[in-house]
Amino acid sequence: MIREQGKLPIGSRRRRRAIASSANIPFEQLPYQCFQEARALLQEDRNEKLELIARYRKRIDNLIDTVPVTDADKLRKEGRLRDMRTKLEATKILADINDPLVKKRFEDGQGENPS
Amino acid sequence: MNKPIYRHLADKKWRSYQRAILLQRITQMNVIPDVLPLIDPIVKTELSFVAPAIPKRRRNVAHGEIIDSRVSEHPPVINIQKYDKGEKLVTIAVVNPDVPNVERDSFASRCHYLACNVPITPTRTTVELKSLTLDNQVVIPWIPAYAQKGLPYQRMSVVVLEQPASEKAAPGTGIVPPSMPLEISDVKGRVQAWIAKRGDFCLRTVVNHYRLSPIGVDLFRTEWDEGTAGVMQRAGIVGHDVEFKRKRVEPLPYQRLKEERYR
Repeated sequence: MIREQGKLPIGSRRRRRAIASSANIPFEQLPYQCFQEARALLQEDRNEKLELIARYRKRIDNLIDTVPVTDADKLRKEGRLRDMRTKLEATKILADINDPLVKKRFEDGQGENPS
Repeated sequence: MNKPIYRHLADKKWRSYQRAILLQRITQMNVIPDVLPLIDPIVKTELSFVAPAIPKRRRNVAHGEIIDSRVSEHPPVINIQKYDKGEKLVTIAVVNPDVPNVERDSFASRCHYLACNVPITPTRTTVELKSLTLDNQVVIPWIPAYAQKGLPYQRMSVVVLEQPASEKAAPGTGIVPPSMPLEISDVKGRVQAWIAKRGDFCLRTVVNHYRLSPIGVDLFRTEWDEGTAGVMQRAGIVGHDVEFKRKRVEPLPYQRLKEERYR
């Protein structure tokens, strides 16, 4: 028994039986057409987000290199940098949030301390 | 918790239920106007007590729970989970705002614990209050929570305060500036002077002077139970045999009716 070995069982009993009785395919290679097509779509979306992240990073670096002249320019530059940074962080989250493995890992408690 | 997506998901989960419960308890128990004017929790706090004799037995505390005095005799363990990246130095204060002041027929505050310069990161969340160093972290060492006989429950609020940044954040870089460490001898001197002058401990003064900002809060309560006298004697606190009684209020005179009325 998993509990007797000191480990916490993940998922319901029916799910654990189903996983144990099937061939050990990793979750993302399960042979369901709809699932695989959805995964392909999500991968495309993730790649777009990664391009956006690279573009935003370049824009931030370019903006840091500019030298503001007046005080108003300085404030404007700092404001723009702050907003660009917020948008970059939000895009980083958007890139991963639709990944079913991320959600699974989080719900199983393994997103807490990835060791 | 070093990936932003897991921090985001954990933050969302905390805010959906447990943070709402925490805010409800803080508001209902009136911690918010009594200890500090406003607290917006952004870190998750989990309080637990571990008896030194049996380290495996951990008493987890729900927000606002009434704890036996023998359990809270020893300093607790606080898990502070922050959901943004970077390291922060925090100050932890345990304040009891229900200490009775008989002369003024009112209540005063007492500080049961004060420690500064405690580092927390999204991955290092456990803070054992008994293991913090005395010479550059602990200002006031742990006084056990006690409620003398006859008093209502005493609220023990645990407030997590963020120390200000030592330098201004460069806006676009995403680098978190390090927090300013507080000079412990300075804090000790000032806090003791304020307590001597005011007669009680005002957390607002500490927060305003050192420009701290509250980021987390937790609450537990104590009542008089069989172990409180022993806890107070062992800690050397005067007044374990004092009983508080209510002042007798003379009843208002009322006119007795001529005839008895049976209903």
